[in-house]
Amino acid sequence: MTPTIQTFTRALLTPDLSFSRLADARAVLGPEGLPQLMRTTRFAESEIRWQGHRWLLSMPLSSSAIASVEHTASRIGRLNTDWLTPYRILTGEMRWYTPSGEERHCDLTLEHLPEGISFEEALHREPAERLLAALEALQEALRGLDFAHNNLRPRNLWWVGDRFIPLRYHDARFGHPENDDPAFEALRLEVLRHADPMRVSDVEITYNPLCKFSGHLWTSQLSEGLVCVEDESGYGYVDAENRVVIPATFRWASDFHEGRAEAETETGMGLIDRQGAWIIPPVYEIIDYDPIESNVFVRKDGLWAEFDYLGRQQSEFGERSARP
Amino acid sequence: MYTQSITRTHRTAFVLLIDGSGSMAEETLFRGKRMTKAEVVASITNGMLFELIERARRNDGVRDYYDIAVWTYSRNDEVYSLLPDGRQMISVTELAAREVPMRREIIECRMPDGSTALREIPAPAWVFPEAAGQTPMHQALDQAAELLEAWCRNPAHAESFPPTLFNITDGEATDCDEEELRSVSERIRSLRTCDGNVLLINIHIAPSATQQSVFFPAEEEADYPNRYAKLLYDCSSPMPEVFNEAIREAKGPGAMPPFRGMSYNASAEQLIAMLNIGSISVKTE
Repeated sequence: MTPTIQTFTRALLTPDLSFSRLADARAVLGPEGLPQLMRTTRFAESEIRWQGHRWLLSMPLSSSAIASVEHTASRIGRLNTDWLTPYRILTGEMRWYTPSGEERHCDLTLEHLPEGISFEEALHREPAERLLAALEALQEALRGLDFAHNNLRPRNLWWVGDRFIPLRYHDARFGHPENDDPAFEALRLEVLRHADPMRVSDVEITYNPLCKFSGHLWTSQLSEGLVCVEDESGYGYVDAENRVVIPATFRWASDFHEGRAEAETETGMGLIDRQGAWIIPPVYEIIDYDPIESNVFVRKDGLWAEFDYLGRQQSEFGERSARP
Repeated sequence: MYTQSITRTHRTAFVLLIDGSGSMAEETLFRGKRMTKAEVVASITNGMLFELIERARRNDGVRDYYDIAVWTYSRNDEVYSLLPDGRQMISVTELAAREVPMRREIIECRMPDGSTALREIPAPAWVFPEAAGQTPMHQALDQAAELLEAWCRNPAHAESFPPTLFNITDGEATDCDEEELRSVSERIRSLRTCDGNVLLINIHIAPSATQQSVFFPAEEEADYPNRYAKLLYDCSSPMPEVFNEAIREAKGPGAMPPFRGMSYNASAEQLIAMLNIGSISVKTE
C-alpha cells in the first residue's frame, strides 16, 4: 500500500510532524495555500525549500517505483560529476497512517534543483549557437557517464550558467546512453525552430525581454510582439516596451499565435485578436485553438464544435469523436 | 477484462451516490473528532475528488482521464448533483478548472512519543454535507443507470475501463422493496464496455463506531444473519482480479478472493479505503 497524494499534501503542509530529515523543509505553495504538485507515471512531486536550496521531493505512487530508481540513485551518489544534480532516496522519510490507523513509513526521493532558468527561458535569452553547443556538450558528457536519462525534454532541462543540467531521473538508467539520441535531436530542432523568426513569429526578438517586464505578478514570453502578463486585476498583454496593449482583465489568457489567443473570463473561454476584441465570445467551457490548422475546437455542455479562424462555426456541436 | 489502463483516449467514469437523508445528521467518530456522518462523508468525498484531480495532473495540465458525478439522494424523493452548477457529470479537467471554496481542516497527527498535535491546513471543498428527509436510493440508482447507460453507449468509451459507481448510505431505501432494489442494481451491473461490466460498490456506513463491520467480503463471509447486509451483498459487484492485491492488503492477512464490492457497518476509515481501492487502483497512464 502506498500513501495517497492527499497524504503527501498533508505531509508537505506539516513537515515537522511528517518528515524525518526534512522536518524543517517548506513546500512551495500555490495561491490557495496548497503545495504545487505534479505527477509522473510513478511519482508525485513537489518543490520544497530546505537548507537554503530548492529541491524536488517525490513520493512513489506504486510499490515498485522506489525499487525502479534504487540503482540509478546509488550510482549517481557515487559519481563525481557536475553534469548531474544530486539525487537520492530518503529511506522511511515520510510517516503516515493507513485508513485503519496503522503507522507506516514511506521512502521519498530528493533531487537538488540548481539555480538557473528553464529551457524555455534559455531559448529567449541565449543565442542558438550557444544552446546547440551546450546540448552537444551535455550529450557528450552523458555518453561519458554511460547515463541514459530516458525522458529528456524541455521541462527536464535546466540552464545553469553556461550549460544544461538534466533533471528528474525517475526513468534514468546507466547503460545505453544512445537511448537519448532522439531526444537530443528533438531538442536541437526546438532550438533551431525558435531561432528561425519566420517560423515562430513575424516579429524579430532583438532584445532580452525578461529584464524589461517589471511590475507584474507573472510574465510569459514575447510572442508576436506581445507578452501575456498577470497583474492583480487578472491577465492581459503588454508590448515589448512593457506598455499595456490589452488591459489585464482576463481570468486567464494564453500567448498569441498567428494573431489569436485563448482567453477566459467569468463567463467562460473565448478567442481574442491582437486588439483584445472577441473573435469567439467567452461563453464556452474549452477553447482549443490550433494555429497550425487555423481552426478552433470549442466545447459547450460537453459537446464539441469546430470554428474557423474568423470565429465562424463550421460544424454542429456533437460528440467528442467529432474532434480529431 | 478489466485490463484497460485509463488514458485520455480510454477514459473512465466515477459516480458517487451519497445518502443525504436525515439519519446522516447523526454523529460518529472520525479522526478523533465527533462529526455528523454527512460531514464525514463530505470530507472523504472531497478528499477523493482532490486525489482524482491530482492523479490526473501532468506538466501540461490536468488531463481528461475521467468523468465524475457526485449526487445526493434525500428529502422527498430528490436526487441532485452536488457538483458546481449542478452538472450531472463533469470531466476531471473541468472540475479542476473550477474555482473551489477552501475550508480549513484540523488534522490530528500522532507524535512518536504517543502525544497528538493538531494542525489546521487548507483543503478544497467541492461538496458540502446535507442531511434531511428520506432515502430515495432506488430513484438515485435508477437515474445513475440512465447516466451510465448513455456513457457506455458513447462509442468513444467502447474500449474504456468500465465506470465505477459508489453508493454510500447509512440506511435502507425508502422508495422501493427488496426486489426493486435488486432489479435496479442488476440493471446497473449489466451495463458494460468491451473491458467489463459497470462496477457497483455499495458502502453501508455504521450508525456508530462500535458496530462490527465487514467490507469487501469474500464468499465465506457472505452468510449474514442480517437481512439488509445480505441484500446489499446481492446488489453489489464481484470485484475484478485487478483489485485483489489492494483489497487483501486492506483486509489483512488471510483474506482470499473473490471479494464483493460492498460493506456493512463500515467505519469512516473503511469508507476511505474502499473509495481509494475502487478509484485509484486502476492503472492510469
